[in-house]
Amino acid sequence: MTATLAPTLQITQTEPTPTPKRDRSSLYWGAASLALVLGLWQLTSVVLGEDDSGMRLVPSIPDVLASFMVFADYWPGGLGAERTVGGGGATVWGATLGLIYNVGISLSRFAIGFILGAVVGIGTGLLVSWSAIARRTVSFPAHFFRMMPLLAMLPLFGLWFGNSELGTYSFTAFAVAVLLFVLTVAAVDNVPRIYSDSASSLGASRGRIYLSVIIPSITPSLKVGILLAVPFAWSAVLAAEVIGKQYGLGRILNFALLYASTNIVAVTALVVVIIAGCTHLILAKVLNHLTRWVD
Amino acid sequence: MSMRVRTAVPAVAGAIAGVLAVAAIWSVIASFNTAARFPVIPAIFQATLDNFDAAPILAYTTFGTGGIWSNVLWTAQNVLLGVATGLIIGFATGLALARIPWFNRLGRLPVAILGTVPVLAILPFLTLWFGNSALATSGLVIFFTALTVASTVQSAAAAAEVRYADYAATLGVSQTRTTMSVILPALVPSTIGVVRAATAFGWGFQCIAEVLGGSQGAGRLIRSFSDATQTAGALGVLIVVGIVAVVVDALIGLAGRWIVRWNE
Amino acid sequence: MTVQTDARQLSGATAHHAAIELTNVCKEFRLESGEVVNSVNSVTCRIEPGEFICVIGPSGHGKSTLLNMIAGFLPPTEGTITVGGSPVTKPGPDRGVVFQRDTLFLWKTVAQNIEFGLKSRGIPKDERKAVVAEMLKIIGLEKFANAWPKQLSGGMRRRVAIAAVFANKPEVLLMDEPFVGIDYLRLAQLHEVLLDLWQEAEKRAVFMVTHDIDEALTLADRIFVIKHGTLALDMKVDLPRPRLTDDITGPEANRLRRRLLEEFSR
Repeated sequence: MTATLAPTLQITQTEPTPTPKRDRSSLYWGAASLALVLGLWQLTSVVLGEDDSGMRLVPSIPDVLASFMVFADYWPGGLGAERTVGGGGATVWGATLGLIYNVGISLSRFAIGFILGAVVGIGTGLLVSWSAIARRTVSFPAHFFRMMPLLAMLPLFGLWFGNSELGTYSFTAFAVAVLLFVLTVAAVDNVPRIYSDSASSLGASRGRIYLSVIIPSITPSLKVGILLAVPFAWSAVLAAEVIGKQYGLGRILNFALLYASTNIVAVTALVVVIIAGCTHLILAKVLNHLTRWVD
Repeated sequence: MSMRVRTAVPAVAGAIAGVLAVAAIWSVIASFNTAARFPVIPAIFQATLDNFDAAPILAYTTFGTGGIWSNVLWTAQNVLLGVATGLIIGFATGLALARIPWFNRLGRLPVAILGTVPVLAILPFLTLWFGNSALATSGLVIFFTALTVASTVQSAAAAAEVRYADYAATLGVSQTRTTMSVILPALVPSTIGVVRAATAFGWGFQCIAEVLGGSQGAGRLIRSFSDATQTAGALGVLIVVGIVAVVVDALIGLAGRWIVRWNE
Repeated sequence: MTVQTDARQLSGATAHHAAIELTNVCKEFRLESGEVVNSVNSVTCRIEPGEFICVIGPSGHGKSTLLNMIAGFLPPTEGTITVGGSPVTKPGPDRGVVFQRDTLFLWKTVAQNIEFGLKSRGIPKDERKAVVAEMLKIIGLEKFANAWPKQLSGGMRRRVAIAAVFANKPEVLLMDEPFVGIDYLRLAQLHEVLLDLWQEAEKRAVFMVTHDIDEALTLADRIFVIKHGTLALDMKVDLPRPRLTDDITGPEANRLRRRLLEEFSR
């Protein structure tokens, strides 16, 4: 398990096994680990069984997949599938439409809130960091805001915006903005002085240094912060949907809880995890490409 | 010693200026809005004081007791316990991921995926399994702390391995002993850092869990105040939690600096 | 069997093991592009116990790879490496290594760092304390026994690092450019400390990679020149010990220096 002190070139030792097999092995192990998780899940479901009210504590995998049909109840009707509330039967097509619709709604809330929050948070962070006085003034209040339970401000946003979409967008944006603001200011603070010193010794103006040296050099830490903010923003969206929205994944989760249905909770949570995971993955790929110069 | 005072003065002055600026901005907004939506600062103070020991709203809406202070303390207690639990689970997991090859191969992907899960998605399960108990609300804090600690410990352990493992091998130190006496101490600085961050997030997760379904705590109180349109009270609770959080964060920072006083 | 032993005893030669013995050692690396790099090309040499060897040569020509193989971090593609008669398979306390990077444990004091190897191998406390005290005296850091590495300068940390390896009493000492970046004045101090430690430690064999010709002339009994992965030159350094300034700048030293520079420019 010792680290080999190999020369600085990217070298692998001469071995009888050819290189293609080496790349596959991590894929196999990844698949194996997921299979193991599913196996343990199913096992737990069987072992834990049901509680007093007959509800299965951990839903079995077939039950969860079957619960996919619940999405038909959240389709407002049209495109060949009638509203189940109005008496129409739940069809697979209806469920599919319902799934796409609710995912789309939650995703749009996430996207708008996240982008708005990121732009405001990082933007104001960069503006404030420009001036040392501004940074010192804003530091403590920003730190305090960040320490306040941001997500718990949800009821207040309900008071301020009612049940409007604007409220959901603002809440998500607010949470993301505060987080990214604090991280941006900290990142600029941590830029090694030698970067700006070196640039000014080459004759660059302060503004030029800020734009061409400092801002690019904080992109790695910003990347980390943005990726951290993704699941955080999703939590905000879910919370907002639970409180007062008609459609959306958070709403479905809330109803499932009211009816104490572990199956529906599981299938909805699964969809949330997959969608949130995908947004994380895509954003990670984009950001990694932007910071591919990092050592 | 005088050097430290000299460098602290601008920061303190800045902090005071900042707070005043925020207060000023708030007052301007408040003057254009009703007391229900944006209460003025004196109103917030008053509401906080009135409800500090006992909050009548709780008696009306729930069968809960206590006021702002007792509920904030309850929340604080759960956040800290949750972080402590998450720390233990996360540390063990992270260390195992770094030092046990088969565990790493099997555990790496699930842990990475868990890192992208929105923490709030766990809450429904906790509510179903544990009702409104403390475990259900702290569960989010435990989950988040365990994940971030595990991830940090794993990468810090990998870095420590690169730096020290070969040297330890040439001294004749066994694998187990290397883990205990070399890798583990090297992890302490990063662990303290991530615990501090996890605690900061923890307040938010604990409170939102209480807002959505707790029977006690600051979050529950915020919800009660908001439902009764007692905005000043809700803001008061938020500010008190913020103050406690800032103090706790400072204490962790101080303790951390002392624990790793050997660090460069 | 008995006949052979008697014959040996008659000839007066004792069957002793070489400190380090390399036989036809080769090392190949396969790059990601599929290309094969011959890092070390059939090196054969024998280092006796108590010899101080300095290995010099251009960068990237295999010096460090050779050291890593002797240390046990890399297996050779061909050939055998033995230390004290036993073949090398993995790193161990018989081959102490002083690394180029800083490997002192920041959370341990100077004294704790020096005794760490001994402690891990179960050496009793009294013996450990004695060794540590001895080491501290030789490197001149008795006052800093309870200091943390962060409180020491770079040169002082190097001294502690070397002492920590010597304290473990390895059979051979491997050093990979241990004094890179140390300023000229400190370097002389460090050389002195190293030689003191070496002489105190019953003169164990030392295999030191360096790029500094002067350093090699100051320290070594033999100088190996490695070029393109082969042992281009094995030169004995017959200068007296201790080596004073006159010795290192004298005609004999200059002759050796010229020989080495010729070898490089060839």
